[in-house]
Amino acid sequence: MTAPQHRILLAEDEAHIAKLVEFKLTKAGYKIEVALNGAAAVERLKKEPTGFKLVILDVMMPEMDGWEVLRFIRSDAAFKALPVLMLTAKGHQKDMANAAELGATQFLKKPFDPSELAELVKRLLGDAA
Amino acid sequence: MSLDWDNDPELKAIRDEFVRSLADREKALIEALSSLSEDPAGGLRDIQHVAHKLAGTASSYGFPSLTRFGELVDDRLDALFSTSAGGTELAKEGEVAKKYARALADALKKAHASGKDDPAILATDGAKSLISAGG
Repeated sequence: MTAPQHRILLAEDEAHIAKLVEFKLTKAGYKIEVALNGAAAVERLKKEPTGFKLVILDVMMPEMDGWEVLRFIRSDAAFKALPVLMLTAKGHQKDMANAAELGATQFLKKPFDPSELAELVKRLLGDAA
Repeated sequence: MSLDWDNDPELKAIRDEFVRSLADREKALIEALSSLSEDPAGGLRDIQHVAHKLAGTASSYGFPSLTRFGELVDDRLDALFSTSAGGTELAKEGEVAKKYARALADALKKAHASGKDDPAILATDGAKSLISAGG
Protein backbone atom coordinates (compact mmCIF):
# COMPACT_ATOMS: atom_id res chain seq x y z
CA MET A 1 0.00 0.00 0.00
CA THR A 2 1.29 3.45 -0.92
CA ALA A 3 1.74 5.67 2.11
CA PRO A 4 0.07 9.01 1.31
CA GLN A 5 1.49 10.72 4.43
CA HIS A 6 -1.30 13.31 4.45
CA ARG A 7 -1.89 14.90 7.84
CA ILE A 8 -5.37 14.58 9.28
CA LEU A 9 -6.80 16.43 12.26
CA LEU A 10 -9.17 14.31 14.34
CA ALA A 11 -11.36 16.11 16.89
CA GLU A 12 -12.86 13.46 19.17
CA ASP A 13 -13.35 13.55 22.95
CA GLU A 14 -14.00 9.82 23.30
CA ALA A 15 -10.42 8.64 23.78
CA HIS A 16 -11.20 5.05 22.80
CA ILE A 17 -12.60 6.09 19.42
CA ALA A 18 -9.68 8.48 18.91
CA LYS A 19 -7.17 5.68 19.58
CA LEU A 20 -8.88 3.25 17.24
CA VAL A 21 -9.14 5.81 14.43
CA GLU A 22 -5.54 6.86 14.96
CA PHE A 23 -4.42 3.23 14.82
CA LYS A 24 -6.35 2.43 11.66
CA LEU A 25 -5.47 5.59 9.73
CA THR A 26 -1.82 5.44 10.75
CA LYS A 27 -1.72 1.88 9.39
CA ALA A 28 -3.24 3.25 6.18
CA GLY A 29 -0.31 5.65 5.90
CA TYR A 30 -1.74 8.88 7.29
CA LYS A 31 -0.39 11.11 10.02
CA ILE A 32 -3.04 11.79 12.65
CA GLU A 33 -3.21 14.59 15.17
CA VAL A 34 -5.86 14.26 17.85
CA ALA A 35 -7.66 17.17 19.52
CA LEU A 36 -9.75 16.08 22.49
CA ASN A 37 -12.24 18.95 22.17
CA GLY A 38 -13.47 21.39 19.57
CA ALA A 39 -11.58 24.39 20.94
CA ALA A 40 -8.29 22.50 20.74
CA ALA A 41 -9.08 21.58 17.12
CA VAL A 42 -9.66 25.23 16.22
CA GLU A 43 -6.37 26.20 17.88
CA ARG A 44 -4.51 23.56 15.85
CA LEU A 45 -6.08 24.84 12.62
CA LYS A 46 -5.26 28.47 13.42
CA LYS A 47 -1.68 27.51 14.18
CA GLU A 48 -1.26 25.62 10.90
CA PRO A 49 -3.84 26.85 8.39
CA THR A 50 -2.39 24.72 5.59
CA GLY A 51 -1.19 21.86 7.77
CA PHE A 52 -4.04 19.39 7.30
CA LYS A 53 -5.58 17.70 4.29
CA LEU A 54 -8.71 16.58 6.14
CA VAL A 55 -10.54 17.28 9.39
CA ILE A 56 -12.59 14.57 11.09
CA LEU A 57 -15.06 16.02 13.59
CA ASP A 58 -17.14 14.37 16.25
CA VAL A 59 -20.39 16.22 16.97
CA MET A 60 -20.73 16.01 20.73
CA MET A 61 -17.58 17.45 22.32
CA PRO A 62 -16.90 19.68 25.33
CA GLU A 63 -15.94 23.36 25.05
CA MET A 64 -16.82 23.65 21.35
CA ASP A 65 -18.96 21.03 19.68
CA GLY A 66 -18.42 19.75 16.15
CA TRP A 67 -21.01 22.12 14.67
CA GLU A 68 -19.23 25.16 16.08
CA VAL A 69 -15.90 23.93 14.70
CA LEU A 70 -17.50 23.31 11.31
CA ARG A 71 -18.98 26.84 11.32
CA PHE A 72 -15.52 28.23 12.12
CA ILE A 73 -13.94 26.26 9.27
CA ARG A 74 -16.53 27.30 6.70
CA SER A 75 -16.45 30.97 7.78
CA ASP A 76 -12.70 31.31 7.21
CA ALA A 77 -11.47 31.65 3.63
CA ALA A 78 -8.24 29.86 4.54
CA PHE A 79 -10.18 26.61 5.06
CA LYS A 80 -12.73 26.96 2.30
CA ALA A 81 -11.50 23.91 0.38
CA LEU A 82 -10.62 21.81 3.43
CA PRO A 83 -12.64 18.57 3.43
CA VAL A 84 -14.53 17.88 6.67
CA LEU A 85 -15.85 14.47 7.66
CA MET A 86 -18.45 14.59 10.44
CA LEU A 87 -18.97 11.66 12.80
CA THR A 88 -22.68 11.75 13.62
CA ALA A 89 -24.81 9.78 16.04
CA LYS A 90 -26.82 6.94 14.55
CA GLY A 91 -30.49 7.71 14.21
CA HIS A 92 -30.07 11.43 14.77
CA GLN A 93 -31.57 12.59 11.47
CA LYS A 94 -31.07 16.23 12.40
CA ASP A 95 -27.30 15.62 12.55
CA MET A 96 -27.23 14.59 8.91
CA ALA A 97 -29.30 17.59 7.86
CA ASN A 98 -27.03 19.88 9.90
CA ALA A 99 -23.90 18.36 8.37
CA ALA A 100 -25.14 19.10 4.85
CA GLU A 101 -26.43 22.57 5.71
CA LEU A 102 -23.22 23.68 7.42
CA GLY A 103 -20.98 22.48 4.63
CA ALA A 104 -19.56 19.15 5.79
CA THR A 105 -18.04 17.22 2.91
CA GLN A 106 -19.23 13.86 4.17
CA PHE A 107 -20.65 12.26 7.30
CA LEU A 108 -20.29 8.84 8.86
CA LYS A 109 -22.65 7.44 11.45
CA LYS A 110 -21.29 6.17 14.76
CA PRO A 111 -20.56 3.47 15.63
CA PHE A 112 -18.58 2.75 12.48
CA ASP A 113 -16.34 0.00 11.23
CA PRO A 114 -12.80 1.45 11.37
CA SER A 115 -12.07 -0.14 7.98
CA GLU A 116 -15.07 1.68 6.50
CA LEU A 117 -13.73 4.94 7.88
CA ALA A 118 -10.31 4.29 6.36
CA GLU A 119 -11.88 3.62 2.94
CA LEU A 120 -13.93 6.81 3.18
CA VAL A 121 -10.85 8.85 4.10
CA LYS A 122 -8.96 7.41 1.14
CA ARG A 123 -11.80 8.37 -1.20
CA LEU A 124 -12.02 11.89 0.22
CA LEU A 125 -8.29 12.39 -0.21
CA GLY A 126 -8.13 10.79 -3.63
CA ASP A 127 -6.00 7.92 -2.35
CA ALA A 128 -8.47 5.13 -3.14
CA ALA A 129 -7.13 2.34 -5.33
CA MET B 1 -9.47 -5.07 5.60
CA SER B 2 -10.95 -6.18 8.92
CA LEU B 3 -9.25 -5.64 12.25
CA ASP B 4 -7.14 -8.48 13.59
CA TRP B 5 -8.02 -8.00 17.26
CA ASP B 6 -6.26 -11.10 18.54
CA ASN B 7 -3.06 -11.20 16.53
CA ASP B 8 -2.00 -7.58 16.34
CA PRO B 9 -0.43 -6.75 19.75
CA GLU B 10 -0.97 -2.99 19.36
CA LEU B 11 -4.61 -3.45 18.44
CA LYS B 12 -5.11 -5.97 21.23
CA ALA B 13 -3.72 -3.45 23.73
CA ILE B 14 -6.13 -0.77 22.47
CA ARG B 15 -9.04 -3.17 22.79
CA ASP B 16 -7.97 -4.29 26.27
CA GLU B 17 -7.94 -0.65 27.31
CA PHE B 18 -11.49 -0.24 26.01
CA VAL B 19 -12.62 -3.34 27.91
CA ARG B 20 -11.08 -1.92 31.10
CA SER B 21 -13.03 1.31 30.49
CA LEU B 22 -16.28 -0.64 30.76
CA ALA B 23 -15.76 -0.79 34.53
CA ASP B 24 -15.52 3.03 34.64
CA ARG B 25 -18.69 3.33 32.59
CA GLU B 26 -20.45 0.93 34.96
CA LYS B 27 -19.28 3.02 37.91
CA ALA B 28 -20.54 6.22 36.25
CA LEU B 29 -23.94 4.61 35.70
CA ILE B 30 -24.19 3.48 39.31
CA GLU B 31 -23.29 7.00 40.49
CA ALA B 32 -25.96 8.45 38.19
CA LEU B 33 -28.46 5.94 39.54
CA SER B 34 -27.71 6.96 43.11
CA SER B 35 -28.42 10.61 42.28
CA LEU B 36 -31.78 9.96 40.60
CA SER B 37 -33.97 10.37 43.67
CA GLU B 38 -32.47 13.72 44.61
CA ASP B 39 -31.94 15.10 41.10
CA PRO B 40 -33.91 13.13 38.48
CA ALA B 41 -33.02 15.47 35.58
CA GLY B 42 -29.30 15.46 36.38
CA GLY B 43 -29.23 11.72 37.00
CA LEU B 44 -31.05 11.00 33.75
CA ARG B 45 -28.69 13.33 31.84
CA ASP B 46 -25.73 11.46 33.30
CA ILE B 47 -27.25 8.10 32.36
CA GLN B 48 -27.87 9.37 28.83
CA HIS B 49 -24.30 10.63 28.54
CA VAL B 50 -22.88 7.20 29.45
CA ALA B 51 -25.34 5.45 27.12
CA HIS B 52 -24.66 7.83 24.22
CA LYS B 53 -20.89 7.42 24.45
CA LEU B 54 -21.22 3.66 24.77
CA ALA B 55 -23.56 3.49 21.77
CA GLY B 56 -21.08 5.36 19.61
CA THR B 57 -18.07 3.31 20.65
CA ALA B 58 -18.78 -0.29 21.64
CA SER B 59 -19.66 -1.72 18.25
CA SER B 60 -16.42 -0.40 16.75
CA TYR B 61 -14.65 -2.61 19.32
CA GLY B 62 -16.76 -5.68 18.54
CA PHE B 63 -19.51 -5.18 21.16
CA PRO B 64 -22.66 -4.62 19.03
CA SER B 65 -25.01 -5.67 21.84
CA LEU B 66 -23.62 -2.99 24.15
CA THR B 67 -24.04 -0.44 21.38
CA ARG B 68 -27.66 -1.54 20.88
CA PHE B 69 -28.41 -1.33 24.62
CA GLY B 70 -26.77 2.11 24.75
CA GLU B 71 -28.85 3.27 21.78
CA LEU B 72 -32.06 2.10 23.41
CA VAL B 73 -31.33 4.13 26.55
CA ASP B 74 -30.04 7.13 24.60
CA ASP B 75 -33.07 7.21 22.29
CA ARG B 76 -35.53 6.92 25.16
CA LEU B 77 -33.95 9.77 27.09
CA ASP B 78 -33.46 11.83 23.94
CA ALA B 79 -37.20 11.56 23.33
CA LEU B 80 -37.89 12.56 26.94
CA PHE B 81 -35.62 15.60 26.89
CA SER B 82 -36.80 16.75 23.47
CA THR B 83 -40.18 17.41 25.05
CA SER B 84 -40.53 19.91 27.87
CA ALA B 85 -40.82 17.16 30.47
CA GLY B 86 -41.60 18.55 33.90
CA GLY B 87 -40.72 17.44 37.41
CA THR B 88 -43.40 14.75 37.64
CA GLU B 89 -42.45 13.13 34.32
CA LEU B 90 -38.76 13.27 35.19
CA ALA B 91 -39.33 11.70 38.61
CA LYS B 92 -41.46 8.99 36.99
CA GLU B 93 -38.80 8.29 34.37
CA GLY B 94 -36.21 8.23 37.13
CA GLU B 95 -38.07 5.33 38.71
CA VAL B 96 -38.25 3.44 35.39
CA ALA B 97 -34.60 4.23 34.67
CA LYS B 98 -33.56 2.41 37.82
CA LYS B 99 -34.52 -0.81 36.07
CA TYR B 100 -32.95 -0.26 32.64
CA ALA B 101 -29.87 1.61 33.83
CA ARG B 102 -29.15 -1.15 36.37
CA ALA B 103 -29.52 -3.73 33.60
CA LEU B 104 -27.08 -1.75 31.47
CA ALA B 105 -24.66 -1.49 34.40
CA ASP B 106 -24.90 -5.28 34.83
CA ALA B 107 -24.24 -5.74 31.10
CA LEU B 108 -21.14 -3.56 31.38
CA LYS B 109 -19.92 -5.56 34.35
CA LYS B 110 -20.31 -8.83 32.44
CA ALA B 111 -18.62 -7.49 29.31
CA HIS B 112 -15.75 -6.17 31.42
CA ALA B 113 -15.32 -9.59 33.03
CA SER B 114 -15.61 -11.68 29.85
CA GLY B 115 -14.14 -9.28 27.29
CA LYS B 116 -16.78 -10.54 24.85
CA ASP B 117 -20.01 -9.35 23.33
CA ASP B 118 -23.08 -11.12 24.69
CA PRO B 119 -26.39 -10.72 22.82
CA ALA B 120 -28.19 -12.13 25.89
CA ILE B 121 -27.92 -8.71 27.57
CA LEU B 122 -30.70 -7.59 25.21
CA ALA B 123 -32.97 -10.32 26.57
CA THR B 124 -32.88 -8.98 30.14
CA ASP B 125 -36.05 -7.41 31.55
CA GLY B 126 -34.38 -3.98 31.58
CA ALA B 127 -33.53 -4.12 27.88
CA LYS B 128 -36.84 -5.71 26.91
CA SER B 129 -38.75 -2.91 28.63
CA LEU B 130 -37.00 -0.43 26.34
CA ILE B 131 -37.52 -2.52 23.22
CA SER B 132 -41.23 -3.01 23.91
CA ALA B 133 -41.56 0.72 24.55
CA GLY B 134 -40.59 1.38 20.95
CA GLY B 135 -36.79 1.12 20.78
